[in-house]
Amino acid sequence: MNEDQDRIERPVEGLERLARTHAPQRDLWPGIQARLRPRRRAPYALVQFALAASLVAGVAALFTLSLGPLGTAPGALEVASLPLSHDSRAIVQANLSIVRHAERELRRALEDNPDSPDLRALLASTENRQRTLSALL
Amino acid sequence: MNQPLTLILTLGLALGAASAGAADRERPIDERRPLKADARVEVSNVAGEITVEAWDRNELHLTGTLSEQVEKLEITGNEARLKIEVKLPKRTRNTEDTILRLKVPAGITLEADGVSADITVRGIRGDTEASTVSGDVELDVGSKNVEARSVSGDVTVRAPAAVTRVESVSGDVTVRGARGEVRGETVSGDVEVQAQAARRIQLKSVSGDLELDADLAADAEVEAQTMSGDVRLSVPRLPDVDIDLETYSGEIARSELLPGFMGRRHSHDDDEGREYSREGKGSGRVRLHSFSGDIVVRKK
Repeated sequence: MNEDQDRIERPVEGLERLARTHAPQRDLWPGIQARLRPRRRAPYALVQFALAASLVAGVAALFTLSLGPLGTAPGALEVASLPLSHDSRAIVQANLSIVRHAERELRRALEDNPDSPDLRALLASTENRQRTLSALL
Repeated sequence: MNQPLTLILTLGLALGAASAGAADRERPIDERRPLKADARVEVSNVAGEITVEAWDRNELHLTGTLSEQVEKLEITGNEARLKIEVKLPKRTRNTEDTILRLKVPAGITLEADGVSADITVRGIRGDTEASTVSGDVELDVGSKNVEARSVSGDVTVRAPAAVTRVESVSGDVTVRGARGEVRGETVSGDVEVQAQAARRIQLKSVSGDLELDADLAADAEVEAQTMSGDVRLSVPRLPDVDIDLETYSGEIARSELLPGFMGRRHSHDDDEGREYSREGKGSGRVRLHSFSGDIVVRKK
């Protein structure tokens, strides 16, 4: 596994240290799942999507177990100064997984077509989006 | 009465009482402030709803309800610049919905921020900017400049704006009635744009479909890039500009707007039918690229 892949698959820092004694008042996953609409044509789709979905489910399950207190959310989005609720934090995490999945797919596509300026532009944009979402957490 | 039934009834009554109690603890809002017709208004709410509607008075009328956890509703500034913030105590863990409904002069400039709040804006004519994380954004405005963003929510903009910028990560993005410049971007959501006299359109997605229905100006610059989504362009005619369509593993559909293009004639792995380009006299260009999706250009 290369360095990028390793970085992408690395668990969310600090997640394992969160106390698991306080469950949210409702299951967060259905709300997240409703937002995760599979697209019909990903070049390396089904297995990859299943992996991403299980990653998202894992993250959601962790957040269902417990979360720490709310914090402010520095970052590029205009919502930066507002605190993220448990649900919103889980949704941002799920979207971060979507972005990371997209980044992996773009890197694979670039292996087939390394000179594509479009893929490079999309990758740059996706990496930027990943930074923005990470900054929200 | 058996024990499980008693337990269920007790829990039901307790939950009912708790929910009625929460409703009781919601505090109604009814605030008024003078506002200039061209004031700047900033409003933020973590969870619930922000709804802004234009009316014909130079005044803000704010109604709605504050949730139990809200520490205070802070309204600061003056008639030229007003800021409305829902303040939560530090380290708040769960946030119930707070509803903010604003009536404002149509000419104001608006900035609305939420986290899990839906944002709806109607009738504003000044510049409008709306951002939220997991809520939907719906703008039906007369603004010249519009920006709307969400992380997981859908973003819908109906505005004759000269500049429209919309983005979401996993939500769908829809723009109607735009003029001039449109920039739309998602990661997995679809992007659908209907524009008039479009001069500069830039659409991007990783796996979402990109759809543009437009009357393109003679010097239009259109660029659509996606990795695995389809790209669809509907136009009355293509302007006389450079046209460049390309897909790596998808297909380009035949079209009366692409004279001489026969599409894919072989089913094996050649590149035929996956590129189309022609030069034009105009200064603009139309560039539609998908890595594994299809490209369709059709006459409307």
